[in-house]
Amino acid sequence: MVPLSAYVAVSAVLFTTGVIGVLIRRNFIIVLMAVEIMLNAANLNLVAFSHYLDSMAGQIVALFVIAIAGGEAAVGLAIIIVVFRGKISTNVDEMNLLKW
Amino acid sequence: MSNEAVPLNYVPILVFLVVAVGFGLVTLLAGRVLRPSRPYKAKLKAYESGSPLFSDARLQFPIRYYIIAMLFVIFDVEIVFMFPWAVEFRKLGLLGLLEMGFFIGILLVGFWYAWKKGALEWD
Amino acid sequence: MTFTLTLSGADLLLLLPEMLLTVWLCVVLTMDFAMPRLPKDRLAYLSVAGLAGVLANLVWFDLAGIGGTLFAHMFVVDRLAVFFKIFIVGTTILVILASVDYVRRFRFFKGEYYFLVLMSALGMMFMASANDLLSVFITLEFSTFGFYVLVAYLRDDVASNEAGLKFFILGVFAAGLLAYGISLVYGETGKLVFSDIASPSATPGLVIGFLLIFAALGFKIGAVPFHSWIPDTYHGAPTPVTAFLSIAPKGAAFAILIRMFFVSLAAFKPAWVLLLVGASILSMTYGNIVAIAQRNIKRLLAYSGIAQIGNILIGLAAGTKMGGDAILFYLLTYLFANLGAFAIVIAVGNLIRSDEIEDYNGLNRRSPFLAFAMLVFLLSLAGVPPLAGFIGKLYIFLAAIDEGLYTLIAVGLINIVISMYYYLVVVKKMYINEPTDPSPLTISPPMKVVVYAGLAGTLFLGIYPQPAINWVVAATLMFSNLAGPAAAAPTLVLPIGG
Repeated sequence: MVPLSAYVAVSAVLFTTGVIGVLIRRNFIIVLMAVEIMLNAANLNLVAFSHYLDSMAGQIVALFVIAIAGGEAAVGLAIIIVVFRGKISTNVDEMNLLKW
Repeated sequence: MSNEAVPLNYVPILVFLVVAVGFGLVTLLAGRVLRPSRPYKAKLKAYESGSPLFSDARLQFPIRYYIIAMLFVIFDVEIVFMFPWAVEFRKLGLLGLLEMGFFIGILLVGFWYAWKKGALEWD
Repeated sequence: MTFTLTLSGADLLLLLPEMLLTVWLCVVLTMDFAMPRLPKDRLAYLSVAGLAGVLANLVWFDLAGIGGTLFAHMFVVDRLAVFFKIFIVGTTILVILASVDYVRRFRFFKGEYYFLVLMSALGMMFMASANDLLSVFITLEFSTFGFYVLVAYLRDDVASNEAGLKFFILGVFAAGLLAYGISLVYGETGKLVFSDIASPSATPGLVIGFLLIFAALGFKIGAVPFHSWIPDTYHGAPTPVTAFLSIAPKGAAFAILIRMFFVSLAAFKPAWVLLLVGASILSMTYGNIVAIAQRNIKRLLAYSGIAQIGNILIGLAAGTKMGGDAILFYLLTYLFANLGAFAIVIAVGNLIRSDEIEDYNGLNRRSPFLAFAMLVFLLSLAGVPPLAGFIGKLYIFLAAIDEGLYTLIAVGLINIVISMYYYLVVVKKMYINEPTDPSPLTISPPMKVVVYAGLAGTLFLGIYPQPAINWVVAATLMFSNLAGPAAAAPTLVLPIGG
C-alpha cells in the first residue's frame, strides 16, 4: 500500500507547481495549463482521500472537477483566440490597454 | 506484500524500463562514436524527394479547426457522467434514465445550436 | 456506500424555479437560432417574461414558507435561499431591460447575449441554494462561465477582449484554489455538507482548506486583497454586463459565505472575525481612496463597489443573526442604488458614447431627470439620509456595535466621509459645470423603467424600511441560535422610519 501521505505530498507539489506557473509564466496558454495542474492536484487529493476514508463523495467531486476543467479550457481558448485576432500576441505583459 | 513500497509484481516493468532506456542510449552513443563525421551543406536539405522549404511551418491554422476542437472538448467530457450512470444503471432505474435523458436533451440543444450556426462545416 | 435515487413530486417542487428557468433559457436560445428573422428585442422581453414567472414562483415559495433539502442535502431551499433567488432574479430582470438599447449596437450574436445572461442567473440561483462544497464549486463555475463570455462580448473592442482575458485568468485561478481547498476540507472531515463539516478542532488541513475557499469567494466578491480583476474587468466589459457583474454574483457569493461562516465555522468565530475585519478595513479604505483618482465613471463605480463590499463584510464580521440581516438589507439597498447608477451610465454611454466623468459636465442642463436620478443613486451609495443607503449602513453599524467591533466602525465612518468626496465631485460636474454640448438627452422606455425602479427602491427602502426589515429578519431566522445579544431580540426597530 502506498501511504496516504505520499498522495497528499505529490498533490501539494503539483498544486504549488500550478500556482507558481500561474504567477510567473507570461503566456496565456501556459497559464491555462498551470491552472489545469492545480485542478488535477485537487483531483488527486480527492480520489486518495476518498479511497482512504472509504467514502464515495470525493470521487464524485473529482468527476465534476474534470468536467468543469474541460469547460474552462474551451471558454478560455475561445477568449484567447478572440484576443489573438485583435493583438496577435498571447503574452500577458502586452495586455496593457487597461491599466491595472 | 506487507509494508512494501513497490510491489514485487512491478519489478519486471522496472527491468523493462531500464533495458529500454539503456538500449536507446547505447545505440545512439555507439553510433556517434563509430560513424565518420563529414558535414557538408547538402546534408541539411530535405531528403530525396522532399521539396525545398519556402516558408515557416508555424503559420496560423484556420479558426475552423479551433472551433471543432473546442466542441470536441466540451462534448467528450460529458461522457464522464455517463460512465458512473451506466455502471449503476439497474439500481438507478427509470428515474435515472429520465434524468440522463434530461441531461442529454440539454446537451442536444447546445449541439443543435452549434449545428445551426454552421460551426460544424469545414468551409 | 450506495446511493438510492428517489425523487417525489414534492422534491421536484423545490426545484421548480430552476427547472422553469432551464426550460425557458433553452426556449430563448432555440428561438434565436431557429427564427433568425425574429427581432432580437423580442428575445429580451421574452426573457423578462420568463424571469417574471420565476419571480412569481419564488414569491409564492417565500409566502408559503416552502422549504427542504434535495440530493443528499446538496441543494437547500429555505427563506435565505429564496431571498437571494429573488434578489438575483430581480437584478437580472432590470439588467436585461437596461441592456436592450446597448445590445442593438452589437453587430453579431445579439440573441446569445440574453441566453448567456439567463444562464448566469440560473447558475447564481443554484449558488443561493448551495449547501455543500461540491455544489459550491459547480454553481460558482457555472455562473462564472457565462460571465467570462459576456465580459469579452464586444469582439471588435480590444479593451473588452482584454478585460475578458484578465477576468478569465483570475477566475480560473480562483477555481483552482477553491478545488484544492475543498479537497483538503474533505480530507480532514470526510464530509462535504456545510452542517457536517462543522468540526470541533482546527487541524492544519482544515485551516488551509477554508482559507483557500475564502480566497476563492473573496475573488468572487472582489474583496481586497483579491480585487485586482475588478477595475479592469468593469471598465472593459459591456456596461450592462458590468452592472450585472457588480451586483448579482456578489449577492450569490454572500449566500455561500453566510452559510459557510455561520454554519460550518460557527465554532471558530474568534479566528474568522479577525480575518473578516482585516478584509473589510482593507476593502473600504483601498476602494475609497483609489476611487478619488478615477477619471472614468465605470472605474469609479468599480472602486466604490470594492468599498461597498468592505461595508457588507462588516455585517459578516459581526457574525450574528443581526449581522446576517444587515447584509441582506444592505444588498437590497446596494442593488437599487448601484443598478440605478449603472443604468444612468448605460443611458448616457448609449447617447454620447463616452464613460469619462468629464462628459457628465452639465448633465442637469441636458437631462434634468437623468441628473436627478444619478444624484439620488450616488447619495444613496454614500449613505445620506433619508435614502436607502443610510439605513443599510446604519443597520450594518448597529450589528457591529452589538459585537463591540468599534475599530471597524470608526474606519467605516471615516470611509463614508472619503466616499462622500468623490461622489460629490460627480454631482458637482453634473450640476455646476457647463456642458460642452448642450443638446438635450432623452432615454428609451425600457431604460426609464429601470431608472424608475431604482429610484422607487432607493426612496422606499430609505423612507419606509420596515417591510424590508421584516423580510430579511424572517429570512435569517435559522441563525437565531448564534451567539450574540442580537439573538435575543430578533426584530429591530430603527430610530427613524419604522
